[in-house]
Amino acid sequence: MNVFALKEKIDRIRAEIARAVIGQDDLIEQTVIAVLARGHVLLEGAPGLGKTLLVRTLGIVLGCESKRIQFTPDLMPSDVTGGNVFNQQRGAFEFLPGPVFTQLLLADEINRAPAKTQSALLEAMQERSVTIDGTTRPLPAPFFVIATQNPIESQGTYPLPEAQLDRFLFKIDVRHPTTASEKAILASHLAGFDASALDRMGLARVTTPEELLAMQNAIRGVRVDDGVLEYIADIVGRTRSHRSLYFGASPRASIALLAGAQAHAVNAGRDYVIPDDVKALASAAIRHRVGLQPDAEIEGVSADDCVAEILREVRVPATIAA
Amino acid sequence: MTPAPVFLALALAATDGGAVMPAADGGVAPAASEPVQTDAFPRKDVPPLVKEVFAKNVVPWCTDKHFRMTRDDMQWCALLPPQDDRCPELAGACKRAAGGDIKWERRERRDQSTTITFPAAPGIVRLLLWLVVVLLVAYIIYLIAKHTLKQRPSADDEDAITVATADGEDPAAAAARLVETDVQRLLERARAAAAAGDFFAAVGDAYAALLRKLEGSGVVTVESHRTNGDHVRDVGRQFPALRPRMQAVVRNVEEVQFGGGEATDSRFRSVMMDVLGLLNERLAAVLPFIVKLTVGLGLAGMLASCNFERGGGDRATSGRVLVWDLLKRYGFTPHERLAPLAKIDKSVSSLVLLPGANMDDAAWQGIATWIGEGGTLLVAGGDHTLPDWIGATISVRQGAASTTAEPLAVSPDQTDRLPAKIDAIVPGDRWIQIGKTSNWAQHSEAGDEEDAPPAPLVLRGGKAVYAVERTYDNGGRAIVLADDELFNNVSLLVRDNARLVVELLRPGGRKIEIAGELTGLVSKDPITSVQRGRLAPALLQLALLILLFFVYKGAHFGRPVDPMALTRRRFSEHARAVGLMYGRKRAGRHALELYGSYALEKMRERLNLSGGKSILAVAEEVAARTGRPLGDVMRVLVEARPPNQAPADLVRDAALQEANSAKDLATLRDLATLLTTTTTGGAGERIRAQRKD
Repeated sequence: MNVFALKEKIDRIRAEIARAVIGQDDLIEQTVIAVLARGHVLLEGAPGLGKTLLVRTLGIVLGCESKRIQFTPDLMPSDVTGGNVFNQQRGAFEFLPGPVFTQLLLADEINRAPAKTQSALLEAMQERSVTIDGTTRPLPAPFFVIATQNPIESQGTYPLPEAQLDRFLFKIDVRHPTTASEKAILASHLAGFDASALDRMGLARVTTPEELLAMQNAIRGVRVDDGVLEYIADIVGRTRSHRSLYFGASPRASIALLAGAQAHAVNAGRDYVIPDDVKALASAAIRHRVGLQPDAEIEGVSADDCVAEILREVRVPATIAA
Repeated sequence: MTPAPVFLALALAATDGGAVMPAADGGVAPAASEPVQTDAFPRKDVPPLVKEVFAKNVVPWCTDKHFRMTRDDMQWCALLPPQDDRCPELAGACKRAAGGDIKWERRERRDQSTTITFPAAPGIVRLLLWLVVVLLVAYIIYLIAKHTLKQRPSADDEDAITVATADGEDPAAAAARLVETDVQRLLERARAAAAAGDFFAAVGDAYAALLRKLEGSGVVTVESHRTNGDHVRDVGRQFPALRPRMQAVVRNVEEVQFGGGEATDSRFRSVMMDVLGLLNERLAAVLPFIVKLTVGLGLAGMLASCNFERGGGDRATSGRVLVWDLLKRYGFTPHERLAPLAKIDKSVSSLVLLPGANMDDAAWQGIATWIGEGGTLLVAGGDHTLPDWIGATISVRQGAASTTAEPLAVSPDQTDRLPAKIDAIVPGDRWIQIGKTSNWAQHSEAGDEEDAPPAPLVLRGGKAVYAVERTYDNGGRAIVLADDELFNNVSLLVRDNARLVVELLRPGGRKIEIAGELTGLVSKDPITSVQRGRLAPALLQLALLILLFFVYKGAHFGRPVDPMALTRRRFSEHARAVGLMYGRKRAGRHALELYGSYALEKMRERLNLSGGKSILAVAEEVAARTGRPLGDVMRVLVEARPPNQAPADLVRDAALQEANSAKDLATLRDLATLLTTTTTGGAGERIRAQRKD
């Protein structure tokens, strides 16, 4: 699959999703890039911004089987992964697969479940397999998790541990739409749009799971120059010595940034990565992998501010500046 | 100026006021050449115009019931009408001034020098002051020296440089490592690299030339952290039409730099063609020029439209703004002259020379030339030493306060120039002595009586000559007034003074320039300007300061950086942030223990405990005060206490703490309620009393 065919396909995916999710073009683009880079996405934003709608639409457009788990405080790990159930007729234990056995998993409000339930996803996200009672079962391919969380409520929520956060390729901040976009949303509702009945919208299925896998594999072949690799390493490395961060991003962040940059390059119609691809995704790939110093947090500094500062310090490869 | 080729006939009337000409070094007599534009215009009725002037201009001495006059103003009081609708409050001000209610005395302007003197201080204070100064200077020198030494390459660096060149590196390659910023040199370098077959370097240099050109035009900012995409966006923002072309160049260059594309001759030619196309776009270069031109024109327009009225002085009784307004309404176009008088434009019809105008030989020569071309000069008093071709001098009559406070009258034989019935009067102690002009004397010696110049117009106040007007060839005139009182605002209210002013100027033409204290102060070059402004020490200090900054900070001190946004946060925000940190770390138990210790101590401190200070005693007192069951209070206090010993299983304890965080928070709130209720007092006593009942 050449880069032009890939780009055309990606454009169609984005356009189809944008029919349902209005005014969130950046969100759609970054989510699609994450999926193409074989990554999981954590969407953070206030309720009502279309996070769940995006994931459901994505499932339809990508032609993938999708399931949804509504995370609650009493959700158990077995409710996610499934478990062995005794079959009285056969007199033996039978494995009953949980909702994680799907291609696109929507983990809605993931921070409402306690840490042990959240951790049930760790292996699934990293290894793309689930181990229950000593038996490891592979998950269907492609497999990706799109989790949502609400940053406003803190009571009754369980912040994701760093290890869990690190599993997400991107953390994308979902922002409020502009006034013009909001007007378009209202017009769409007036025209009969119903978010609970997406099947009636006639959304086109642009890819099949096999095609999606092929696209993911093709993207891994996108050329990355040594200078760009150095650029990525430099950016991520500087998070470890930044004065406002008490822990920096792991090498997994570098890998995520690299994979994301490759997908971003294809999205721009190139078969090679340029520094702009890296810059465009640096915040999304790093913001959830760093910890702010308490004094910086008190002063209102955000992880995005730190990343922006680092990007202003790191020398771009092949620049002509002194 | 060269001497005038043709002597103009000058007139002198032998009057009884005539005296010996002062030895003025006026230079050259007016010479005839191209005529000045003297578009004399018909008479108008002046009194309505004066009324209009006072109606349109609000002046305090006409409207303020409590206006206080100066002693100089008072001399007008005798000449003013007893009641004047045009200026209703002036008569009252005169009455108050006659009663001794005077504002202040006008003082002669004199040169003032400013001397800064330090107050007398004890020796030890002076010593400390000097010590501080010396230490400050020493510190600055130390900083400079330290910075200079820091910038100097160390011995290791020098070795490294030696090794780099000793390895046999081509000096040309070493030079190439230096950042080239000149567009033409970059283009030449690109062509040279292409000729040598190094197309990779050639493409890079061609693109660098484009970026440097755009940087020079202020379109992009080349910095080490900025990507090609940033440059494209910069170009697109300012010149949307150029964006696709810029994008094409960047695409070509990036394919070579990052995409592994082969740098070929055809690719180089393609890049070079696009680069040259963009370089030839004048838009980038024209934009800053247009902006500067617009700003410049705007400023010039603003300056041109500025009125020459300054401060409140021009509206005072002795100010001139009303006179200029009258002239405008009459049809003149008066302008303040700032340029030197050495060269006066022919479009200027009349020049009013006020006291304080800086006059030198060049100025008088310029005026002489201009009068020779038909210009009209009006010297309104002052201490000027008039040139001999004017043939008059202004004198002060000692001991006479108001010698010319008599109606001004024109000789009956000269009524063709001024109306005979003009009724003007000014106060003053100056008069004019009329003498022979030097050139007239030469002319006279020649005995050519037929060509004798016409007699000058003489305006007298009693016996003293107040004004004299000489007429030259080509219609040029020189009018000398004994003082500038006619050009004072208040003078317009007196009899026919306003009419006299316009009659003196009317034959000259419409365009009047007024030469005052600011005339000639415009410098020819910046150095003269600095000299005149005595700005050299300040500029030298500024230069020294910049030099110090440069030495101390290096070239980067002027580099633009984002200002740091410092915001002060409320205490509650800090407390909330700390609380969030506790919450995020699931350290509710820890917070409860800390708060429990504090609350228990507060309770022990504030409650009047009769049964000792044990936790049970505290619980009993709190229960009594709040009316809550003792067991309930005891539970809260016990749960808030820190454990007596460390947990055996830290992992299990941490898990337990996390699971119980909501419960801990509830206990903490409960404890806070107990503490607040208990320590406010009153309620407990009432409950205890109720129980006893």
